[in-house]
Amino acid sequence: MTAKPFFMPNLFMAALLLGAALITGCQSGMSKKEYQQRTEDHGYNTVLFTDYDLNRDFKDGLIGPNKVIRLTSTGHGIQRTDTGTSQVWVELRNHTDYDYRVEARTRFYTEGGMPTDAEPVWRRLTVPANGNAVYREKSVGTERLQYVVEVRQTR
Amino acid sequence: MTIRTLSAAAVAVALLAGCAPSQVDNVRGQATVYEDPQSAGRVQGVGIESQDVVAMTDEMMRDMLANQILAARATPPRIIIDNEYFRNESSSIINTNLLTDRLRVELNRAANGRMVFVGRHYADMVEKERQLKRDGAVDGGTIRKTQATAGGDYRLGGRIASLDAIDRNTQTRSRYHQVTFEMVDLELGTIVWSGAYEMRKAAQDNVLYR
Repeated sequence: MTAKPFFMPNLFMAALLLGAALITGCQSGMSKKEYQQRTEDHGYNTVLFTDYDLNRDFKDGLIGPNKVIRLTSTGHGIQRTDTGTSQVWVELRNHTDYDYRVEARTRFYTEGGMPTDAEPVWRRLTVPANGNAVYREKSVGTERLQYVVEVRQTR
Repeated sequence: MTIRTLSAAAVAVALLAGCAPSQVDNVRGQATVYEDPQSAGRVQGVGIESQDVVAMTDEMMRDMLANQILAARATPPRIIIDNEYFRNESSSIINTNLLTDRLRVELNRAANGRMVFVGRHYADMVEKERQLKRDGAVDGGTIRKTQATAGGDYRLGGRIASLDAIDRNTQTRSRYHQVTFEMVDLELGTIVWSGAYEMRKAAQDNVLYR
């Protein structure tokens, strides 16, 4: 009977500390997986979904989904045109029941990895619901090039 | 009692009215901000905007450089790009020089000698200087003398057309633009390259373009 007055405050303090620890843990920012995806070296000849709402591989908050795949790239490549310039193509697939209006741009790099060519410009295209669309972009230079294509939702 | 209460209430109302603010709206205004001309800005309507100008001229430039007739000749062709034959027949207000100037500048920088650009819009400036040289008012300069100024092989023509629609219930207006760019052979009259840019926009805002 005499232990009760001491027990209650201790229990209260412990619960408070546990709650604070939990809140701190939840607020500590991004998960390891999110950090990894946001900072990984993407390399060349790749398609990046710079808009993580379109395609991401990390949990978005406590109750958010683990993985989001509204759009994916089903294939991409580069080929030469008749004048020696390069043309990049990316086929995008829409996994949702809604048309998606997206923007894409291509940054070209030399084989040594130096950014080159004209300044990339966002180009708009619509990916129909549950359908595919192809984005194409040409370089202005005639040297062999590598590319990185960025895709985001239309602003 | 009632009269006293009413009088008190009237005095209170008068006092409150006297305290009612006749003040200056002393909030900070919205500062001017730079915006990315490639992306839609804060003010958006159904007309042709900066992001459209940039996107369509960039697309045409890259496409022309992939055309064999224009960009793969042993002797670079002489090309005239100005708005002389580029018509705006749309309901959008736009200075067509925005399109032709950007296209010429970007193409000239990117072509890097694969095309030669004739500054026909500067023709009177060139003629005045040539006349001064021929008259002996100024010396001959250091480059060279030619019998005549450069003639063009190809010249840009084009058109902006539009189709408007309005929903009377919601006052939402939609505008479809079709912008065509064509390169014309100045001897034969044939069209050696064509490009088209299409877009449709819908908005409720009453944006004014100037």
